[in-house]
Amino acid sequence: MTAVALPSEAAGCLSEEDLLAFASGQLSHEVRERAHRHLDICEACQQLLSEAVHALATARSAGVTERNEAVWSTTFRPGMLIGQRYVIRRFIARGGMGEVYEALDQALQERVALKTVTATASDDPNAVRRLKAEVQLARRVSHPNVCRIYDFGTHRASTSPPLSFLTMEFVEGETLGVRLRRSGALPLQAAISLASTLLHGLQAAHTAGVLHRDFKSDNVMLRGAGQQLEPLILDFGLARAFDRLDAQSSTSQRGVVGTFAYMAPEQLEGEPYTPASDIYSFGLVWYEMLTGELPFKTRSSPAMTTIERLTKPVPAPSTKNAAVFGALDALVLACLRRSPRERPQNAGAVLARLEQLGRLEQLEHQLGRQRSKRLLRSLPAACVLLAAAALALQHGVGKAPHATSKAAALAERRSEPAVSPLDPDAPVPMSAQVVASQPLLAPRHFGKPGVPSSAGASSKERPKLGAGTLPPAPTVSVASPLKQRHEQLVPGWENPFVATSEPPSTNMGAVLEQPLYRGSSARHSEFPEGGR
Amino acid sequence: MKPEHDDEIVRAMYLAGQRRWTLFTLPFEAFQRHLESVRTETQTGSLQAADLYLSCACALAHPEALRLFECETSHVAEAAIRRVDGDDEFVRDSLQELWNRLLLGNRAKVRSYSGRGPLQAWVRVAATRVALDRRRADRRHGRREVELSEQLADSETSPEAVELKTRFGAAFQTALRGSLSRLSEQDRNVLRMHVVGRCSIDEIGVAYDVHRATAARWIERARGAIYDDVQRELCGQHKLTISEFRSLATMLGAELELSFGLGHLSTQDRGPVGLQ
Repeated sequence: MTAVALPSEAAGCLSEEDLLAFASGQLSHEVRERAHRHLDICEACQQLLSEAVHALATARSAGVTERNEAVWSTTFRPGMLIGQRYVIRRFIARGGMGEVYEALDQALQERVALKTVTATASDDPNAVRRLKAEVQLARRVSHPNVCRIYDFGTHRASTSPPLSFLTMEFVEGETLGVRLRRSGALPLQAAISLASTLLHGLQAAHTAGVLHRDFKSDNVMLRGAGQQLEPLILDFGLARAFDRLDAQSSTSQRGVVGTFAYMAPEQLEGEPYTPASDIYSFGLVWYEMLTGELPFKTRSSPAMTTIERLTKPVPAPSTKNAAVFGALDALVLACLRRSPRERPQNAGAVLARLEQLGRLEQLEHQLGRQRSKRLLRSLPAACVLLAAAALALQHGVGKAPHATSKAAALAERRSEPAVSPLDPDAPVPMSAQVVASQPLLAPRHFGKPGVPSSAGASSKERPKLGAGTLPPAPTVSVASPLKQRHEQLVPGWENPFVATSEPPSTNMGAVLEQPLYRGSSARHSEFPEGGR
Repeated sequence: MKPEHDDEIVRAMYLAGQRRWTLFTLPFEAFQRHLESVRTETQTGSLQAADLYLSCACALAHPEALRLFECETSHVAEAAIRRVDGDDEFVRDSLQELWNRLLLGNRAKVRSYSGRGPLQAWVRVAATRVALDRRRADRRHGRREVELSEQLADSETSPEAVELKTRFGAAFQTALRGSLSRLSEQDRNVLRMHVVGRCSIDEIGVAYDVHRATAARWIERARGAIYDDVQRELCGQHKLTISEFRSLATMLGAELELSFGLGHLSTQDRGPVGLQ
């Protein structure tokens, strides 16, 4: 078989092989003449040839083409010992702050995520000192739903300048952003439950005086599998730490850190960043969870989208997902107010209002009242909340286990299937409509049954997304042609993809399955399914 | 015709692959067989050993290798696709299609990677191809194709230029196209790589395995030929004087003499090129 024969592609176009060979001067004269004839009439190949030429030039400048070494453009390679303690296992991703690796902490024999700091300023002692201070601050956040930062170190090698790095909790799973991009809006219950858990994490940080500054769905990791999924907030407070460091070496625009699409208006305008700014970003993520997209999603540039976001009123989530009820609409929109003063001032304030909603729903079931979304929509949210608070005081809220049986009885009376959100064997809700026909906020969403949810309680225990909050997600699906191919080609290989029980193809499990291929925008997302 | 596959070289390449990719192991025989199947005229010893090792494991659908493949190349692929079209949805779909084309099924393209260039460069070209294919298929992106002659001559600088363009623009374009068609295929391709593809003299030198000075001389020669051709045509048929032609060429041809008017073209103007 020879790859230089032309035409090597179906339409007579040059293959990747031919193009790279052409670009690197490895085509024989005769073959090149034929390539010329084709290039003269094929626009795509003309463009591809230029791309190949540039790709080779880039690779050369990065040292990738060193022969028989194949030095990739990552800073560390598997097996390297970093900071006298961490052995690199593999490269995971490259982000704005640097590169992320999986490493083994030799002292504790534990896996960690190792993140390099953009090399430029690592040898400036002042910059490193400032970074350390920021990291120390970020480390004050101790919450089960916030990714822990372990260590800050400097790698020194004789051949290269010193390089600072951070180690942090190693997280397996996929990011919320990846999940949303892949399968759209979450079921209503899951979106509310997840928001509640995330708010607990944010609240812990706000209480410790730490702001996230770059809260977005790609900074939320969903870890574990199936019914044990739990969210973990990544990179708490690191945005500024890295920005500070970068400031030493660059004259680029200062003062704005974070991700454009999730920035609060005041952040974009260079105003002081407050906990309410985190709330705005959180509001956007919540909106995304409920509707599957950010409020303004245009085909134009991110800058245009941002301008739209700053100048137009936010459309209510219910306009995109009919299952979202009025009081929830109001709360999400409150987080997204243009002026930070008009938003809930911190995560605790949002949480309090969310829990009031939860109590309202719970009470409805306890009282056996017909829940009416229309009524909720028609009343101003404030009235609803006041009423809810009053009712909550009157009837108490700690009757969670009761509520379930009542809800089931109620459902039975309405001759609907008795789907309890607490029942792990219950059918999986398939859509927002199905979810809407169930109790909206079952007690479990705000903690364990019988345990009234509060900041104090939840910061001690890691709230899990229990059964019924997210549908059970089998870790595997045999639907992927790649996996089939793998089995077909390498039958003897230990195959992590082999499913023990095949989920029905319409099951949400297929949607929740860990995909093998995703875009690089998903940091950490390449980990296999299954938590520690 | 086929180069001898020296066992020692193959073994050294195998070891290089093992050193680079420690998270999975490939049997030596599998690597050897793979190397045989992608053999090209290029000397074995100058191939990208570690990249071949990884691609071989991917061809055998080793899960760890597939994951590493994506880790190592997805950012390059995404950037390449984004250069064709920055729409997020487009990028996402194209990436998915790319992985399908490269890694899935019996016709997985990764099986044909022969190691003559780094894997990242190979993926970058493949990603660009997927993106171009998709864009062509997608009517929403009915972008006008930019022709080399337009790239060479497009300029709007002054009222005089507009007027001259009105009077002689069509004749100038015709002359320019005629002249381009009279160049040799190689000269035309070199010029196109330089003008439209924005390849530097050095890069063209590498592609044609010549010194950069030679590549520069080719481009100058092509430019000179075009200039003379167009001048002959306009001064002959349209009775322009030499100095009138020079000012016309300066305005219309956007400094044809110097750079073929690349200065005013932004990278966004890059696009597929066709010659009539």
